[in-house]
Amino acid sequence: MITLTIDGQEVQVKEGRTILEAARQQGIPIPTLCYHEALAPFAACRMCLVELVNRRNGALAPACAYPCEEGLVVRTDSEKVRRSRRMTIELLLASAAHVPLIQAMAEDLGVEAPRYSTEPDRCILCGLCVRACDEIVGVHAISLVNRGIEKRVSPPFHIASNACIECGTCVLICPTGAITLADITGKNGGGTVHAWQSPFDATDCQVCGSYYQPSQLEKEVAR
Amino acid sequence: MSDAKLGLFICDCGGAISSVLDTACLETCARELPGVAFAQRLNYSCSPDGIETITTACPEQRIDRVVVAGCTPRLMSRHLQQSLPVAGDLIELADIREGCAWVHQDQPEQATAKALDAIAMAVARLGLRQARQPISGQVAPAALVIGGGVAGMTAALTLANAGQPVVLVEREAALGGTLTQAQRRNGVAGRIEQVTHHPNIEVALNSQVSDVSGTVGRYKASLTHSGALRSGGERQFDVGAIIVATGAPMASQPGASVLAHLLGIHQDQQGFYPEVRYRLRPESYAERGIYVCGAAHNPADQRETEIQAISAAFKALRHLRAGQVSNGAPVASVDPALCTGCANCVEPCPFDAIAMHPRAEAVDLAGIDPMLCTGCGNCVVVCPVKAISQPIDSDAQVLAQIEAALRSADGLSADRRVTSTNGAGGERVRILVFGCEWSGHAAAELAGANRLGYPVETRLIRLRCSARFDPIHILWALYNGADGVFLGACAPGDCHYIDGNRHAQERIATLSGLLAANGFDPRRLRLEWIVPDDPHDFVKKVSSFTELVAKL
Repeated sequence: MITLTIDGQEVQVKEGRTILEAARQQGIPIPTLCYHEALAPFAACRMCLVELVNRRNGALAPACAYPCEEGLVVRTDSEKVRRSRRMTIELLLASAAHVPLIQAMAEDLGVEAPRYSTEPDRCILCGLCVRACDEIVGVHAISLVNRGIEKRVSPPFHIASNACIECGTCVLICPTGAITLADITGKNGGGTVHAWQSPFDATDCQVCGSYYQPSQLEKEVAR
Repeated sequence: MSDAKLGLFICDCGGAISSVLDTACLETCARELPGVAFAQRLNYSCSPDGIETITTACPEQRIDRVVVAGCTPRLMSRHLQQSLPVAGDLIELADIREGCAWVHQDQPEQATAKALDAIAMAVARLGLRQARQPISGQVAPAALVIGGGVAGMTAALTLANAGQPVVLVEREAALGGTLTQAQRRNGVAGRIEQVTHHPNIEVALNSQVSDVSGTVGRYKASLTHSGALRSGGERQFDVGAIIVATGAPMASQPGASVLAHLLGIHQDQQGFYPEVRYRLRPESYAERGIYVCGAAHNPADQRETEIQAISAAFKALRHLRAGQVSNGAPVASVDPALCTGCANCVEPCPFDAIAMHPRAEAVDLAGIDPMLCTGCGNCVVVCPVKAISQPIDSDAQVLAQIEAALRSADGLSADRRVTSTNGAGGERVRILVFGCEWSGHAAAELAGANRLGYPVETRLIRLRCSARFDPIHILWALYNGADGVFLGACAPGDCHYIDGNRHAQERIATLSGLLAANGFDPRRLRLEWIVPDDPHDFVKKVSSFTELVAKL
């Protein structure tokens, strides 16, 4: 057993438990977005940052992934923590301004309106959908692609994917309602060839008259 | 089973559940449920501490099956199955968060009653369940490649270079397929040479596949020699994987549909073979080991053909190298003592897994190929004498669950005697909602995650496919006092088991007709197409149905 102190309360936990698990055991609330009990910690959203008072020069660490240490003193609600969370939620609010969950979290932290231009997006890149598809379903139909401001959730090569089994687990786990199945499968009606893992529209060939060919190739063939 | 010791763990979910539901009351009441040997409340069942508590309780209390009353099975069941010391089949989640606490926040008492019913339903269902027998088989190490064009040769070489024995079948007298003389000269000729002399490749020219028997992992492919030089002569090969590389469909290609039939693959209107693709969880079906590449699959130039061939070869390689193939579906089986040989089950099987086998001095016996079965349950419903059963969601389990859903009206929860909101006294209606896990139930879970309220009178039953919506279950529900039965199925064309929803539609139409003919209002039974990612639509449909039934 390990003894640590969270917000002045002494907590005893088994070795290997994270700060978040210890805090929950004690009933101390820590906000999370990218955390899910059925998935491995990801530490992407930075909402669960807590202050390690007596370690690492008082650095902030993600509670969902940081393992408890003997004698560790943690503050979950210090000014330093609140300042960090306010910044995080302000940026999230700018990128997903219309999401009720984000609005509610921002309100809790006293952030009214972001100082930055807002985007109509809903995705906060928490990666829950990607990890659920991987760890719960085992299908790997989507992944986080690109880096920095270009980063987004997408099927491979941004092409509608046939790997998706349309189970809707990503839709269910998404905290902001950013995903629909059509985003991944690109579902459309008849006249679709499911060619090599991705669907595309097909038309009659203008050259030979009888073949059924992908519409993208049509222009090339005619040329 | 009467000797089953069932442990029940009720999750507070750190307040997410206990802030709405009276979980202490649930614990007390659920302890009285028949079959519950042990009940405990936990803060988080899914946390490492919660898992540890359950893990310790199992041997101490001699529990062999576990119901966790908490969140939705879609997200949590895999985590619990991997973590708990009980067979995965003997773990059941009663959804009291998305299904109760989060959708009936303003009716905590009725939500608690509904949660108790959900627990009772899970307990009843799990108590009768047997763990599945693992189904697996060996994979023969060799591969059969059909077609000696660019696609076939590339696939054969990829496999052969990886050390796998390959049989390459070509209908014509020479390899090369539709390649022109010029193409044969530059480069591709080298490939023909390589294929011909590769120690791992056996080339069968002037040959055609005349029969494919056996099953997944070990197909018996018969090749007939069709050349003029050597007539007749059938040879058989045991192969674990088959790659179809027959080239673009031609109008004058009589063999194509025969081949599709032999391999049990689908051929589209243009004559292409679309990819053999299951929209099911990877562990819940057996990899068949049949791959399509090149122009047989879609119009493709030489470069794309080669890429596809290599891809198909690597998929086949992975399958062959695994050495074993297993099927995690709740495979249906036939009781030979009950089967009357009517063959009603053969055609409805969406995966062609059922065939009739002759018996000496008895009627034919239906046989289900355990490797091809995906456990949709269509045959279980179809069988007129109930000779077919499934280990999960067997008739006994679903019937017990239905009874549990409706029993509490006069038992543990008294909420239905509560005066309804409009002031008129009397009993509340009882609505049973059967949902296909891919649509109806998925939308219900999503409604919960979005905190969209719908009538609290509903009790949810999750089934694998709408093909499993059994008229007998519906009649049993109505007989046991359900005021209405709502069925949520995938829209036409969306069924994950090909056409289970079409079967469901036919059955419900017939049943409605029968009900009407016997003086029963058929409006109490409704089948709706549900989109899995549109919870608002589900809420609208269930609410309007409940309203209608309440007026009847």
